[in-house]
Amino acid sequence: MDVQKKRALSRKFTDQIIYAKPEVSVVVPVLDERGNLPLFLERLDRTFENACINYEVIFIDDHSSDGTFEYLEHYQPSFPMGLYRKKGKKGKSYSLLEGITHADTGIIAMIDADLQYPPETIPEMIKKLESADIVVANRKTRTEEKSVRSFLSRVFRNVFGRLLLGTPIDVQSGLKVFRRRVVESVPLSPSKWGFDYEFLYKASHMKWRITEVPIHFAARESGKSKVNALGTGFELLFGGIALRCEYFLLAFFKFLDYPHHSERFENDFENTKDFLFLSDIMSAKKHFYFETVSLIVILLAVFIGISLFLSKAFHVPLLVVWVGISAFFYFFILLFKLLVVWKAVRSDNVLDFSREEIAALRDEDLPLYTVLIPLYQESEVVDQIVRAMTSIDYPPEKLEMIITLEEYDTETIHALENAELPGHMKMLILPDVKPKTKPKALNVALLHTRGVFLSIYDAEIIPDPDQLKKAVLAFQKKPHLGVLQTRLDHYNSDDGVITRLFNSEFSFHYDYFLPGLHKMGIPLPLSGHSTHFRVDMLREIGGWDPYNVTEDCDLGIRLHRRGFQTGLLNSVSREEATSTFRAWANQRSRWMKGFIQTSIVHLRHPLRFKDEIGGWGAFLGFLFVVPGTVLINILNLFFWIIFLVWLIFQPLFVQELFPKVVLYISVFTFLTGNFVFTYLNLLSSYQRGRYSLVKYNLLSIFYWVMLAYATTRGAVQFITNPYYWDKTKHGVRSEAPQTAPVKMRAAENQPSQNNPVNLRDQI
Amino acid sequence: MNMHTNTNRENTERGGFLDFFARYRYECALVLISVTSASLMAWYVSTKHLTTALADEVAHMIFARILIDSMTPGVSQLGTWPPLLHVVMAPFSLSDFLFRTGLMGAAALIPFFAMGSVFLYRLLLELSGRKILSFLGTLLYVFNPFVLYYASVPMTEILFMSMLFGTAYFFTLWMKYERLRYILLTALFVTLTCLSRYEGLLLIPVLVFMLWVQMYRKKKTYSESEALTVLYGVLAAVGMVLIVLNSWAFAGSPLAFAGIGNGEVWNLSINSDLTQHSVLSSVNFFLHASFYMLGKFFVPLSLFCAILAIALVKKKTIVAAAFVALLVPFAAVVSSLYRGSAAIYTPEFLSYVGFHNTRYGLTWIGFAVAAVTLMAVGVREYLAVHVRQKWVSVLVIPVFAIFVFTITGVHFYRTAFASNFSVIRDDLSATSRDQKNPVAVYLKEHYTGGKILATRFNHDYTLLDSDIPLKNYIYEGNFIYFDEVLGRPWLYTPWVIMTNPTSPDRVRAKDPVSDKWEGSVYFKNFYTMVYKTPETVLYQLKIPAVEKYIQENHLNEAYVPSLHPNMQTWDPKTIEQKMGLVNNK
Repeated sequence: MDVQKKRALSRKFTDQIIYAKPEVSVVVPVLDERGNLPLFLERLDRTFENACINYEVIFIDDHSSDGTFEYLEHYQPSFPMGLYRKKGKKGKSYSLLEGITHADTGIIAMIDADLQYPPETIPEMIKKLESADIVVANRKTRTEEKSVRSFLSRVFRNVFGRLLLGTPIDVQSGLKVFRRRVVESVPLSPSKWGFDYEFLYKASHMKWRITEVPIHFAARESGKSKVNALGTGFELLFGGIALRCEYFLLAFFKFLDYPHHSERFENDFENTKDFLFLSDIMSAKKHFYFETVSLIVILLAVFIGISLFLSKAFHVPLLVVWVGISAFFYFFILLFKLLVVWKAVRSDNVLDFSREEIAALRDEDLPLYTVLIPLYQESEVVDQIVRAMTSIDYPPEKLEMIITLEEYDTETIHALENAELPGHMKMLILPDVKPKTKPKALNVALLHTRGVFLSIYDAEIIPDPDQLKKAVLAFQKKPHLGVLQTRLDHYNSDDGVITRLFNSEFSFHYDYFLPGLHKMGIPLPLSGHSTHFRVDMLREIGGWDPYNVTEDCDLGIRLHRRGFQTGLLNSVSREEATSTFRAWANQRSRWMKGFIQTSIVHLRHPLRFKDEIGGWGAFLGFLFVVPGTVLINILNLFFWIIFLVWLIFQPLFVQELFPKVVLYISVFTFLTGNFVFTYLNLLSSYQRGRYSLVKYNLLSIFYWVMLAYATTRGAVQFITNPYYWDKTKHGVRSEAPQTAPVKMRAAENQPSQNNPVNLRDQI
Repeated sequence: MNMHTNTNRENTERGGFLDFFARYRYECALVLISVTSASLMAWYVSTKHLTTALADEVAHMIFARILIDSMTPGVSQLGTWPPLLHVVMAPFSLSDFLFRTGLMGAAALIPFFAMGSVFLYRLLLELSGRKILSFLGTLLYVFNPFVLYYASVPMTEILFMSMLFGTAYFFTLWMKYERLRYILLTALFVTLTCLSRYEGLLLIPVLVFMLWVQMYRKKKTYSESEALTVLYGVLAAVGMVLIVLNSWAFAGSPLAFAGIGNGEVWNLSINSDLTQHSVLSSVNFFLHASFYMLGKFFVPLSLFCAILAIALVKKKTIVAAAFVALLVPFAAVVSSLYRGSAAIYTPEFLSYVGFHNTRYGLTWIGFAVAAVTLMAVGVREYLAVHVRQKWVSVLVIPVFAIFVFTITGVHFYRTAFASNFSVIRDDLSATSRDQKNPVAVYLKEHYTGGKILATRFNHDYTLLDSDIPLKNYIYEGNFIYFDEVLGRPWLYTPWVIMTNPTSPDRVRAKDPVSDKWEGSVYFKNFYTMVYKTPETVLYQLKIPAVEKYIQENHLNEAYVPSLHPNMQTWDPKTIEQKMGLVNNK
């Protein structure tokens, strides 16, 4: 159907013309172009009619005084036109940027209304977009106007374009056609006339493909040029020099430069090579980009510089300075954690729903819910999975359960085949591609999901039966939430000392730490299972990173970066705690390795990251929570060894490492920190009703020594075997409970709004 | 528009402020009365030169000041006394005026006094449910002359009692409502009580016992009781652990705070055998001290009231628990008297001594006040039910209140005005403060810089009155500096203060400087005695003798601190090396 037919069809139904959905937006900045407009509009409309392309033209009037706006306003009903008076600063660049924000199509053309650039070239340029991302009209020939302007234009193109910016392209050409995603990906802050060169230079830097179409640059028919040859020339020259200097510096300080060229395209869901939907720079696929290396070099240089300065200033050896810095770091971490706990105690941010509210949900109103269950060599827990999943209180016809399996994991496949799965549980055999990780399995499954919401349950998980309904209620009540984090618990916490301490750590983490972080607006490191997502949001952020061994933590941070909010849901999932030191250390080493990966990924562009997660507060919070946890655990090992050496041998060098101020801060932090966090563990267990565990928390200090070991191991593994997924063995405990054996306060009382679980009310 | 908005906001704020006063009018009134009366008492006591009359008062002040003003400032200066008072007074000690006059005690303690009054009121309110009676009962505490005295001088009693009232209040709340926060706050206040006075240590086991009783009554499981005990015990024991660690680190023995290790000297000095191993004597001594502190009528009255209150009130268990908590100081002091680690004297027992440590009898005033108040409430409730004539139950309280307040008023007048705090003035450790310490005055007039060697324990008054920064003294709390200087004082200090050899043995035994150099001919080669009192001897350096010593021993004169008073602080090892002393050893 051609354009005329489409328009005619529209006219049938209404007095006002309704145009078909445009395919191209033509952005035209205008200032006192009244004389050129009739012909411009006619030529533009004819061009698109002839090319059978639906278009919209967007005029941004920079406060013309010759009646330009009124003329356009008069003719607006006759054309598919958007007409806007300029809101921002005066200048062509700002008109263009403002016009682009009004454009509603994937292809944007920009052209001046003075008819020096032929609008008839636009369809040809659009066609060229098949092999390029930006098409520039190259002013090959021109009808000479004033000799000065012509001369300056040539000089500018050669000196400015070729020498300064290093590109043969006609950088100041006023006619360009490009894809919308290109302009959205390029961070622009142009001067009055600087849009063109800045856009092209930055776009080429991001490896967007640029091509040219030769045109004849005509003389003006009417009106005056707005370009002040000398003033504009200087503005462009200095702007160009500044841009070049900026990029020269960015070549060395790469971590300040963003976005990365791999971010040109949003989420490639067709990537079946490794199912990495994200851009490379947002993934742990490759750890050390130049960004990271340059950042590390700069930070190291600054750190060593400061250390040397302090060493000279205080006349102490370098090692003493480092011990001092570590002491202050410990001190600040302690203050931060206390603040988090304080916020948690004073917060009431855990979402909760009463039995009545859950009962009021009608089955027919419930959305389709997808549950992903990634399995690998877990045949022994198949019965438990089926039992736990079938006890979920959600109508089966609204439930889609996808069990992902590796093709060669025949034992688990057979076990599932023999288990007589209910109709809504499906097996998904994963393609045999690397990496063989849980997040890759989840990404594959994401492509097959039909649900509105999605949750993940690991093999041994026993969620509260009403968890999905609670999640639905939470998503309905809080539409701004993208993800919900539930509370985790262990059903085998009484198996041994390790499980007891592990459980207390979980109690503290989920009852104090996460609510505190949430209250402070710091990104939450999510758990690997029992988190609930909006599927469209997951797709928008590109799913999981298959290369990150703590994809959960990474996802939490990425969600926060993209502006999605996380909610805390008062619902409990019970899992099996690793009960042997070996299994515990393997799991913990993987977690800490993942924390290192996540830190590296997100700190590649630290300032950008700071802006995206909500400023310095959240940024520092992230530093303390993710890389800080790793660092503090490794330092712990070092200081525990020093402490033991001092305790046993009392050598003089240990005393010399701690001059008075450092000693004071260290002793204060050591005593207060160990006491406060041991006590918080005691409290956490007590509040969960795990009375028998309380006394075991007095051994927390030994657990932290174990943590120090596991973290150090994880750090070493990060270097030696970064992507190795040390699978946690489940089903060690012979039989999981049918229902939750623990007397968790939340579960026990079937929380309602009259009986909330927030700490403020519990203590 | 803006004006209107502002006015609204002001109204709201004013409303909030007034609402607060209306809601907490009794508490606010108590704060006002406490602060005013204690401030007036501080003024009155200072005019009578009683602010720094007791040796312990000056010792506490010095302890607080040397946390900051010392050659080796910091935690090491806390000593082995309960440190809370010193910590809270430390900021005030920085003011020379407050320090020299002793008013730093009032400045630091009056807020705690007010806090303690409020806690006591809230406790009585929780137990009785009667606001006016609780308020009046608290006034009995506030207007006790010794309570006001100890709220205005640098002593630990008020701090201890305030923390004790906090403990009893929160424990009562826990007994009533069983909320976790109350037991945690109880534990926190137990710790603060322990850090105020050692009597608080007894609270830890006593409250554990009561906690188990309550858990048993409420039919809680063993594991829950155990868990709660751990939660309470760990936090409540923090104070004790800090004391033990401090004793261990700075006094060389974890139990140094309890006097174990140097107990013999202490026991010798206090004639504690009067009460040792005799419960009756211990109780007798304590009660006699209480007669002076609370009033001769008030003590038996409160004991009588306690029995009646328990018999009449409804919430017997909770009241009994509060009584037990408030009686802990009584038990602790009696236990100390029995063990012989503390002593109380009153003229009834040792007329030639006068008074000593009678203040111990004050610490159970909370119990006495609570007993009287709750008895009044109990009697009123009883009469309201059992006596037909309404006026009887209406009148009984005012009559009783007038009676009790008359007793208190008489006690107040006799103590503060008629006898002019004779209990304080006639204390064994009291010193007349009409004149400044003469050694300090001499030192102040002749001091031209350099360090002064002194054993602080024996010469607190000299340190206080000399107006010389305490960082210029080298005393036993400077540890390695003191040890180093004690070996060859003439190389380090132009001045040495010693205990007069005519002082009693028990005093001289506590002065290592005197112990080492008193009577030494070698020492007298280097120092001239310049001033002497019956307690103290002051020596000044003979510079030519030191110069001769330096020549003979080939030392580097440029680094000898005693000849260079501007050398304020030094590291012993470094200075030894620089002087050339290491080679000579």
